[in-house]
Amino acid sequence: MIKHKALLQCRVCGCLSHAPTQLKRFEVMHCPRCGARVKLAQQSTSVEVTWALLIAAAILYIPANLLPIMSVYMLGAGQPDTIITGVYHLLEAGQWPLALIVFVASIVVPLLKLFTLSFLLISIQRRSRWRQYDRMRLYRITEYVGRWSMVDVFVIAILTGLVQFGNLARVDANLGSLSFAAVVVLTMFAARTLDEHLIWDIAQQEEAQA
Amino acid sequence: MNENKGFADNLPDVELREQRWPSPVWLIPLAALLIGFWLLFQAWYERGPTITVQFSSAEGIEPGKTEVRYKAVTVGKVKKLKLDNELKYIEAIIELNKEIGRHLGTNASFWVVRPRVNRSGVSGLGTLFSGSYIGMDPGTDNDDQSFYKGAERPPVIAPAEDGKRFFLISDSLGSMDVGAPVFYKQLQVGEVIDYELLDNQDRVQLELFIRAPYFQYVHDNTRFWNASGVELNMNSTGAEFRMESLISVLIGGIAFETPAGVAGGEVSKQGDTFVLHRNYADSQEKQYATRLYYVMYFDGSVRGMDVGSDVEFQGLPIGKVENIEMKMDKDSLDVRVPVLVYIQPQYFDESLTKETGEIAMRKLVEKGMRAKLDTVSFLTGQKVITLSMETDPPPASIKATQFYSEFPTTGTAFEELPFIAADIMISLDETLAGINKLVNSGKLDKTVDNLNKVLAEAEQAVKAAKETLKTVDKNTLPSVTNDVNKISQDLSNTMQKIQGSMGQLDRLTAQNSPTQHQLQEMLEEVTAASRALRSLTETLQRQPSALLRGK
Repeated sequence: MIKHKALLQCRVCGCLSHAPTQLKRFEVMHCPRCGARVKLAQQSTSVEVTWALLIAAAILYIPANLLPIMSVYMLGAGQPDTIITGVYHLLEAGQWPLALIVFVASIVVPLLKLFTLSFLLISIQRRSRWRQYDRMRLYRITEYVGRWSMVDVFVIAILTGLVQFGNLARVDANLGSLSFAAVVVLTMFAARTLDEHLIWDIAQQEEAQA
Repeated sequence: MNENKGFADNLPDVELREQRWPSPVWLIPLAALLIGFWLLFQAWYERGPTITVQFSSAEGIEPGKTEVRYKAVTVGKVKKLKLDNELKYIEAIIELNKEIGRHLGTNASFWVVRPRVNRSGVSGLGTLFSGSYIGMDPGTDNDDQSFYKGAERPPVIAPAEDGKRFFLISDSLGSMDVGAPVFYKQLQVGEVIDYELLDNQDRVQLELFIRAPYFQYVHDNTRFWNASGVELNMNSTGAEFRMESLISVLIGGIAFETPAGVAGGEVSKQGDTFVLHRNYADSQEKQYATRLYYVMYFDGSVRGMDVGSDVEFQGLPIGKVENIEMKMDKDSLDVRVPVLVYIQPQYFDESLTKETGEIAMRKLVEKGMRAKLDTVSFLTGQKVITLSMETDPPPASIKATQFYSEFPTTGTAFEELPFIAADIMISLDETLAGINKLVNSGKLDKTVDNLNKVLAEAEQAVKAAKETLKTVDKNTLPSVTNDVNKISQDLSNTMQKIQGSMGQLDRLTAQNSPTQHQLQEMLEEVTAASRALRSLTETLQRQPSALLRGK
């Protein structure tokens, strides 16, 4: 893998050290001074961590949509709603703009985030050079939009805290909201851990080799 | 890359460590996977049976919303509604909880709880806000099935309530309805839960539920009576007023009491049958469930006899007149008046049943028991049928006919009493005329002694006549009439007094008498009150919310 002795700098104490020409399996490099882990650019764990977070998010996306996220009881009547039945109820009530917002923020955006991040990861792993600038933009949008999905969770948390009037009106959070919050947080972390530098890395390497 | 040799040579080599484990970041998806599996497993594990319940109307049932509740705990939910193949019923597909599914029996029952106003009150008010729900009783046995028929109304008694069921036999349902209260010492201890027409006896059977621990007050000799409305009895001892409760006045009710003093019967078993008396007074009379029906033909007029008149034996009621009709034989133009009566043989002996009672009656008739008409009151002409043992009667027996057996009767002189009275008046007139003649003829002095004798005899004769009148029969009457011919002025005075009191009685009951007027007024007021009540219940039925918001 590593053909010549490269220099490594520890990110913690700044110590420079020589990297070995060859790394055996299961061997990882640590700073000789402070013991912190040091990596070569090619050795970045960004892709691995992002994949892990992304898969966790994808798994939790299923219960987040199947389980009820919130129960609204008014005058004794009401039932737990999943995201999609909530959207359906809003539509039934004629509130289609609201329904659209909830649908986009709670179903489309997390799903799109899962797909775009997967797409970016795959394209990085395949060392693709295809439309690097656009992919960069896609990454930025994903990272920026991601946190707004948390609005749902905040709304539920606030309603649950505020609306507790016994039989008159009551809002309860259900297990689904927890899964949903986990999905949002995990995708946000995944976007964070994905090193956008890697999109360009391949170009740099090739340019350097050329 | 950058080959800065002299500088780079002094640098230490990087420290190499072995790490066989993959990055700990993979614990996150692992945890997510575990959580996901756990949630799915839980959802699968909590899933109860899916059943189909048939209702005649889907009113108030919403798929995905309507809950199934047992003792106010949500145990399931309606998933889907569909029509059955013949479009007669709707089928609600219900998903039940696992725990209730475990206890579901084949005799489980389901019903829709919606706001309801009926005679027994307002129920399901809570559903005005929460929407209808389906109530259920999981039943007792443990074999479950997937198809049930839903009931249209909730059971009156809560499932699994402790108590006993009894049956009451009544002539008519009256104002009773399912849910009508049952009172014991003015305490509501149970309800009417069902009623049906007994097809072969033309009577109504009511089913009661009496709660624990009150069912222990129901004994074999307990009497039930219809406590609907207000009972007002006026008799020589004064007025008596009975009312079980305001509810029973509005919706009817049944009260029961176990008479004290009588050797207390056994505590009744579940399913025992009792007679429902028409009112309290009725219930105080002995009445038995076994009735033998007979038809009787009387020679004379049956005027003064009504349906409900007593059949007596030695002055004690043992039965009642059930029906009086007229029947003509088309060929012979022979018009007869069959009187249908029932006799309760248990008055003679409580151990008699229908069969042994019939045999006993037959034997009694062979021994000389006959029915005859008896006048209870000369003033009103009211009559009863008396069963009495005749001395040396012509032989007769109970004749079986097409419908009812015929009971032999014997005629009575009292049917002709009005004519006798007229005869007596005429005779009196004649006697007076004779006395006049006697006085005028100047033979008086001679006859004073004789007259004194006659008067003394007459006095004796009157006494004898009175005695005879009590036990008289057709054969002895003519001689009585002859005796009476010689009667004195005393009797005539008595007759006048009787006439006088009859006149007063007439005035009291006349069309425009104050009594009549007051009764009329009272009736009108009662009618007005009941009309107001009806309008209230109708309003509530139309808009139960009026209870809360007003009209």
